[in-house]
Amino acid sequence: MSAEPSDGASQDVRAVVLEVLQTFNKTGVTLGDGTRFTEDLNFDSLLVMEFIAALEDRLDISVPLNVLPDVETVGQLVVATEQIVREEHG
Amino acid sequence: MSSPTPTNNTNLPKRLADFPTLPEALDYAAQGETGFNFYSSRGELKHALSFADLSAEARSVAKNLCGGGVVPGDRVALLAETAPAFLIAFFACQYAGAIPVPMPTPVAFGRRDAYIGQIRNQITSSGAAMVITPTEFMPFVNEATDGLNLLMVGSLDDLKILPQADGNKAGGPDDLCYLQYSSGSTRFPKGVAVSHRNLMVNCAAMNAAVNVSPDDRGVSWLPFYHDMGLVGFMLGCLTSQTTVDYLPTEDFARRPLTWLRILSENKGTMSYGPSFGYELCSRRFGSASATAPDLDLSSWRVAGIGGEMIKPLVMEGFADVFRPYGFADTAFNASYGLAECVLGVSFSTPGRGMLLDHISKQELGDNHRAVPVDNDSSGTGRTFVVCGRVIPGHTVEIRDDDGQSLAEREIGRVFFSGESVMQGYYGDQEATDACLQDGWLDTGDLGYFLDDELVIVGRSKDMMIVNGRNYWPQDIEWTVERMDSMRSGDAAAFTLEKDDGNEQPTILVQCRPSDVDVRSALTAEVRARVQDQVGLACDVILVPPRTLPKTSSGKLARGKAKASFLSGEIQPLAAGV
Repeated sequence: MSAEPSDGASQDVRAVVLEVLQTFNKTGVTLGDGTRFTEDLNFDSLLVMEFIAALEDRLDISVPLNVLPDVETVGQLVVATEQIVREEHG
Repeated sequence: MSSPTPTNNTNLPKRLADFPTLPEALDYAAQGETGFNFYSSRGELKHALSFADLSAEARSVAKNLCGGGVVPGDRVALLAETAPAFLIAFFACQYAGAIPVPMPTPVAFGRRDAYIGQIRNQITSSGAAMVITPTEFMPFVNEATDGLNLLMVGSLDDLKILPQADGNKAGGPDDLCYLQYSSGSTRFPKGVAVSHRNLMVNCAAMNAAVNVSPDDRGVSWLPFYHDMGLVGFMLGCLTSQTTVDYLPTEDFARRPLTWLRILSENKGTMSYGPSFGYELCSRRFGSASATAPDLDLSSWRVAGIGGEMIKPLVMEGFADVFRPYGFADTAFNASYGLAECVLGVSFSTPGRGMLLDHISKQELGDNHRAVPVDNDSSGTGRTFVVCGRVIPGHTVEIRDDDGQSLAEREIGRVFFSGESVMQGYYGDQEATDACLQDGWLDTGDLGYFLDDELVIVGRSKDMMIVNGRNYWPQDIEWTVERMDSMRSGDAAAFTLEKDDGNEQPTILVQCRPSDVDVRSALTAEVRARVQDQVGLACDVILVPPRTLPKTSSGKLARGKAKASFLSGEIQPLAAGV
């Protein structure tokens, strides 16, 4: 299974990530792959966890803490989430 | 799956931290059935670790430490996840006479380099001989230890493969028990060095202050790399053989109500948190428009509050939401403490609830006196939470700037003395001398006495506490001063107290360009850099060059900068936004 953008499953994950994220978008920036969590969305550590919880509930996954330091943008989160979905749901 | 460890021991009499050393406290607790339980974010029991199992495992791993070359007095850095492996490694160090150094786990998006820098600074500052980490964090730790000459960097399982050897001896009462880094800044870390005697004296005093009984059971989501989690709900409870149910901090942040569900289910009696932990629960409960018919908080005897300035409105909001579920307002227990005194300095009488003192804002600001006023909506008063009596066997003095002891309701610096005072900052005599003289610790906090009870009006003049996390202005200023257009002394960071009790991190930046577009770009860049490297959203305020005051030795006079800004002496530049 590849993580090409044309891949149907990854389209779904991307859509869910963006949809959930929109409810946490307090700065009103337009969300895209390049959107940065700290600089553009002003996420602090509490908001990060609240957002992760919402994402976990929507996708029925568990996001391990060790992915966080390598995730700076929405696009990176989509890739990481796709991988978790593949691992947990095959 | 096994069941959690019980609240009561069947035969073992309760002893309240009257042990010479921590290993002896564990040996005693191991004779009973109580212990530590670990829960998932959905409130399922993942591991039950009785004190007996903890002791046996730790004794075995202590031999691996010895076989791996660790000698008594060596520091061993441990990534402090909320899991059995951390506790086993921590107590293995105790049995081997080594000094454990709990380190933080990553909690935010991005900031990989900042996190790695932080733990590398703690590893080098403590001179750790070995680093033990959960496997999933190994890539970060490998990077953080690159080029360091260590005996081993690996997981608890890696450690268990090392050959076992006897020969190491546990420390005595005056040997160091652990180092704690939560009070230092990330760039300039300071490791609080605590001896077995320091720890045991403070644990005994805390157990007595909250009347710990055989029926008590702790519940905690506090991280083990913070003093309230490490001492309050790990070491303190172990020294009184008290069972604790743990929820990892990151799981609490995701699902705060799980905290209350575990307490309800297991009939927990003691649990602590900073104001924001309580706020998270009432907020999430409200937004979920949830009802929880099974939630029963009536067993909760001590709902401790500490760790940052206590916000009375937040606490009242929590009580309003959870009173229908058996929560008693009288359970609130306001306390005050800091890692440099192991943990606890003062506690309220259990069962009283929060006691508030309303004082005049004007007298507070102008004359440093706490003059009572009516609690009305006129805006002339500020409300503070009374933090209880100083623990037995210890003394607090409120002193003015000249070191003179002050009377009741006079506001000054809080000084503390007694056997709980730390040995010093590890390997940093200069920092130790700056706060510890003749057995008196200068806490840096401001407060006053009210009928034998301590009231804190402002935490350390330097440390910034936002949502329960500590930030240091030096880290923020350093981040800004490294920008190309900046020089040393160009930035001053502090928090501004808002009327709602929240503190807004603020940074004054000296700005040379007069072009409005350049200024607004600079404001945005400073904000983004601080956000990225320190993880804090600051208000950025540009000020003219050479307006930030300096001390006689040329250092930034941060307190004066804040005062001058508040008084209008320092005027912001037009931001051009």
